[in-house]
Amino acid sequence: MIYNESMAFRIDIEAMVLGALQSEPLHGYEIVRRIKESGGAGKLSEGQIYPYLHQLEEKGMLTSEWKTDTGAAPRRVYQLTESGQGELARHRVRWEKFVSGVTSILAAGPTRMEGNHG
Amino acid sequence: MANLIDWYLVELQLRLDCDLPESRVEEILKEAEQHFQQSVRSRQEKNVSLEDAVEDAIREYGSPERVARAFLRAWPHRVLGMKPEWAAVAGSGVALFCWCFHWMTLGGYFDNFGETWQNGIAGIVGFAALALLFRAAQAGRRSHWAVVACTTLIFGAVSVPILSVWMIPNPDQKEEQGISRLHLSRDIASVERTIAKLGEYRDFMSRGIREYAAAASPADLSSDLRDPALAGRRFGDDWLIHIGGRERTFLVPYDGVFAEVDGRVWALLTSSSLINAKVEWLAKGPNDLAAIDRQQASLSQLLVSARQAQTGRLFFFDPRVYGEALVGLPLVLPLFLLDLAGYLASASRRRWLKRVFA
Repeated sequence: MIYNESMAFRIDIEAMVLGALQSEPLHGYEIVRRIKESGGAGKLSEGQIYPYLHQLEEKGMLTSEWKTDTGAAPRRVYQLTESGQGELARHRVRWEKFVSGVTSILAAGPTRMEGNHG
Repeated sequence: MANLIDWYLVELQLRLDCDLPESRVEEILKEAEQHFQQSVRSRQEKNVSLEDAVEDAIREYGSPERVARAFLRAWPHRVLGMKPEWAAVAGSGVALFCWCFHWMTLGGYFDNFGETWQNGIAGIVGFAALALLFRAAQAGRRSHWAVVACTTLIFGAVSVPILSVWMIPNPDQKEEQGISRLHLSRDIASVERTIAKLGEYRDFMSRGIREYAAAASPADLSSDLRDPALAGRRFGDDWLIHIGGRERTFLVPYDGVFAEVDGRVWALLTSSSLINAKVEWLAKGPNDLAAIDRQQASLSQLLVSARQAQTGRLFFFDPRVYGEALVGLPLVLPLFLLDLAGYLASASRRRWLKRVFA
């Protein structure tokens, strides 16, 4: 699993890809655009996100097919598999746990240091 | 402007071609082309000029080098079922072990002639390991170049102190010879035996020079000077017992004298005619006596080193010990240098990319 460490916290690009595809099948450009717009790609360029799509496909979490019936140029459309949905659910649980943990710390507000140093 | 995208795709293809299957490269390029078309179209819809839209799309997609590396890292390269970096680790390790096998055998001593079956096997396995290292470097030189290069260099660097401590070198011997720190007591006794045996050979050869110079017939010679089996039994050298045949009855000096730390000495050969034997003794006898002296002096120095090792001296960074191990390491560098040269050679094609990514 590769993380983008340029962010203040670690973002899992694979999770972002799976998340982008959770509601509908998308072609590569649209997946990349959504991830870039979310700010989740960090320093990764658009072209560097495609290898993650291919990796996820090899792991069986995505399937893809070239659609030629769109009237435009052929497009490679990606879709989540059952395994991909399961992985996304796991990512979501981890993410929610992380967010609630960070939230609980941030929401506590500033605390006064107590001690004998005046 | 489509020309710019074509140039980009050519640059990307050049960086993928040698490392990925053709079908995969085609797929990547087709998808990249589709991406550019959509990216340019969506920018033009926001009233960006075609020229700017193409340049923006290419810039956002990333430089061909970065993108190619990302694809290469994602591609499951396997060399003998291993990732390239692990194959490099295995190849370097086995190759280094085999190069140094004569130092590391359980025998513990260096076989000067490489004639033991262990050395033969080590040679074959070593070449196979070298091939594996090359294959790993080739497979991973783009995607994992840092890992592969570092692994190889680290192995070389680590082998230097390990071998330096492990092997006791002979400080004044041109031919590599040394003994293992793990077998100090046994090998010190062996070296002492070899030195003593060389002394016996010197006496034997001095007598040989005298007797053969004066001999008019075989009967004028001592029996051991015309009987290899007898000489072999005397010196404990089995190979002398079995050398030659019934017709090769005269012992003659070997061309040089070689002594092993385990006690084996090569100092004699056989000849079938007395005349030839007389010529051989005349020509080679005195030289071999001098060679015996050199071998004895050299082994005596090895003994000194070994005794120093017994008292705890470490022989760090003696090039006679680790030199061979380092010889092979630069072999992987040409792959990286070729790659770099190819990249630099495409400078003209990259000029426009430089402008885009400036």
